[in-house]
Amino acid sequence: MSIVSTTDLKRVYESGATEVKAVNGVSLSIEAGEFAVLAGPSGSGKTTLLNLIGGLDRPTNGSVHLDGELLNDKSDDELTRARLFKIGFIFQAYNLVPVLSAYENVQFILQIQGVPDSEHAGRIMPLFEELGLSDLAHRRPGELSGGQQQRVAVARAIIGRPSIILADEPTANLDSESAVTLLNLMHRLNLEQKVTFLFSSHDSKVINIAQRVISMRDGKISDDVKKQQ
Amino acid sequence: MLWLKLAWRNLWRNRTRTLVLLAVISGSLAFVAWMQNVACGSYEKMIEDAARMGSGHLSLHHPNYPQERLNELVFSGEPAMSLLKNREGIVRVLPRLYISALARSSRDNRAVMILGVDFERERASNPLLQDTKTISGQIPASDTQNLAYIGKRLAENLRIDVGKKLVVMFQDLSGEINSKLYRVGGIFKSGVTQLDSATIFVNRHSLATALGNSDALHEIAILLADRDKLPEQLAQLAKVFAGHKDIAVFSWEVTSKQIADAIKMDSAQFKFMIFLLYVLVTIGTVNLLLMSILERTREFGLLRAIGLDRRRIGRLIFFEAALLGIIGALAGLLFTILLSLYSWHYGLDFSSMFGEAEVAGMLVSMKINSTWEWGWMLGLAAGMVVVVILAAIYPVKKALRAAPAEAMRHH
Repeated sequence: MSIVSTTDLKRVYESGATEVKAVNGVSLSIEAGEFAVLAGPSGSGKTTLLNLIGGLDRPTNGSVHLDGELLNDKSDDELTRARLFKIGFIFQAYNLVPVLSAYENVQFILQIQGVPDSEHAGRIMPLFEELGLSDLAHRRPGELSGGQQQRVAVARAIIGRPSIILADEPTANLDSESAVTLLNLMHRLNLEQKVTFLFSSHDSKVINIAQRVISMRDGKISDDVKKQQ
Repeated sequence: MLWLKLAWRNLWRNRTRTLVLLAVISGSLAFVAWMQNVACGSYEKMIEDAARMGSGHLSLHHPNYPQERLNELVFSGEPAMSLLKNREGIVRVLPRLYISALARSSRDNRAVMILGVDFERERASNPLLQDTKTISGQIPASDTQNLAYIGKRLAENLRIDVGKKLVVMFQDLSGEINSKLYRVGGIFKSGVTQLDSATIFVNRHSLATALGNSDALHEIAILLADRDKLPEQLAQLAKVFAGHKDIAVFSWEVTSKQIADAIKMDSAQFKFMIFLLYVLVTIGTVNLLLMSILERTREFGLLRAIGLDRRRIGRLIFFEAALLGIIGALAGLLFTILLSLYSWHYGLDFSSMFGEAEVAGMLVSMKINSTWEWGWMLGLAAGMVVVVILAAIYPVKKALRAAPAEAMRHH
C-alpha cells in the first residue's frame, strides 16, 4: 500500500531573472513499512522533495498524495492537520523546543492532537524506555548531547503514530557512534513496529542501512534501488 | 497547563529583555496612576481650600448674586442661619457680606472688597484668617465693631499701619453713598496679589448696619462633613429654602466656577498625557515583542511543521503578551500603591519651592496629600494589559507570514 506518491512533482524557485529547478519532475511512491533514503549531493533537491512530501512547501507543478489524499489542494490549516496526524518530522538541527523538557517536547504532540492527559505518561514512558531516554526525561534540550536530542526528536516524531517519518539529514550533526546508535534505533522501530521512514541524506551510514536508495541529481531521480532483504 | 508553562518559560528566555519590558510597563503605569492620585489629591485640596476661603461646598445667596455680584442683592441672615442650625452633615456655616468700596487713608485711596465676617467662625476654617498669615497686629475678635484686618500691599499702598484710621465708602442698600471709619487691627500677607492688595475683613454686623440692614447677608458658606454627600445636601437644602424667594442654594462648582474649570482643564490635559503614554508604551512594547518574536521565526516554522496551526501559535504569543501585561500591570499597581501610600500619608510638600499657589484668586496650599483613585488605578492597569496584548498583533502577523519551510531556513 502506497503511503506517499508524487507525480511529475516540480518546485521552481525564482531568484531575480534566474529560475532554479530544485525538484524537476519527480514521480515516486513510498510503500508502508519502507526504510528508504533520498540520497545525493548537496543541492540535488533531497530536502526540497522531503518538504513537498511533508506539506511544508507547495509544489510549482505536479501532485503529492499522502495516504491517498491529494495535498496540493489543502489549505494551510488542513496541511498543518495532516502533518500533525500523518507525518513525523526529524530535522538535522533537532529543532526541539528549548524551554520544554524532553518529556514535554514529546508530550506537546499528544497535547495538540487532543490525546487525554491521563494517557500521556502511558504512551511516552515506554517509548522513552525503548529509546534510552528514561533518565533524561526532565532535562531540557540544552542539557542533552546531540545524539540524545535527536533521540528525543525521534520520540516526538513517532509518538503521534504517524503514517510516515520524514527525516532530513538526521545524522549530519552527530558523531559517528551516535549516528550508528540512532540509525539502529530507527531501523529497529521500522522492523518491529513497521514505522515507515523516508530519509534525505548523503551519509553512507544511512545509505548502507536503508532498504531502498533513491538517488537524486539536479532535482531528478537518477536511480532507485531496492536492496534484497 | 503545558501551554501556560510554555508561555511562561518563553517569557523568560531573554530575561533582560523581559525585565526591561516589565520595567517599561510597570514604571509607566505606576507613574501615571500615582500622578493621577496626586493630581486628584491636589484637586481635593483646591476644592477644600476654595470652599473654606470662598463660598463653601454649598452656599446660600440671593438667586442673582452669583452672576451679578451687586451690593443690593442681599437676603435676611437670621432666618436662614436658624434653618441651618444643627442640620446633619453640615460642619460649619459662615455668614458673609461682600461690599465693593473705596478705601481711603489720610494719604491715599484704593478700590477694595470689604468682607463682613464672623471672625471666630472664619478662624476655625478659613486658611486666610490664621495667625500664621498675620504679619502685624492681630485678627480682630468677633465682638470688635470697628477694627479692620487688611492685606499687606493695601496697607503699603494706603501707607497705613496697625492702629491707623481707614475710611471705606460704598453704596448702601438705599442707593446712597455711605462711609464708615475703621482702625487697622491687623495686617495679613497671603501671597495672593489680589487678596493682599484689595481685601479688608471687618465685623459683618458693623458693615451690615452701615449698609442699612443689620441682618443683611450676601452669602452663607456651608462646609459639609462629607463632600460626596453634596448632591443629597443640595437637594435637601433646596427643599428647605424653597419658600424663600430671596435665597437660592448653589454648589461650589457654580460659585467657584474658575476652580471647577481649572480642574476640568487640568484633568483633560492629564487624560491626553495618559493617551500619549499608552502610545509610547505601545511603540516600545511592539518594538521589543517584534524583536523577541522575529528571532523565534525558525521555531514558529518548526511548531507549524510538527502540527501547530497559525491560530494556536498566535494564541500562544498572545498568551505570552497577556502574561507580560498582567505581571507588568500588577507590578505597576504595587509600585503605585507604595508611592501613593507615601504621598497619602506624608504628603508632598512643594511649599518650600513654590510657597502657596494662587488659583482663580484663591490661596491653595502646596502641600498635597494624594488620594486613592482605585477606579482609575484598576482601569489604567486593565488598559495596560489590553495595550500590551494589542501590541502583539503586528509581530504575530509578521512572524506567521512565512511558510513553515521558509521560516525554518530563517536564522
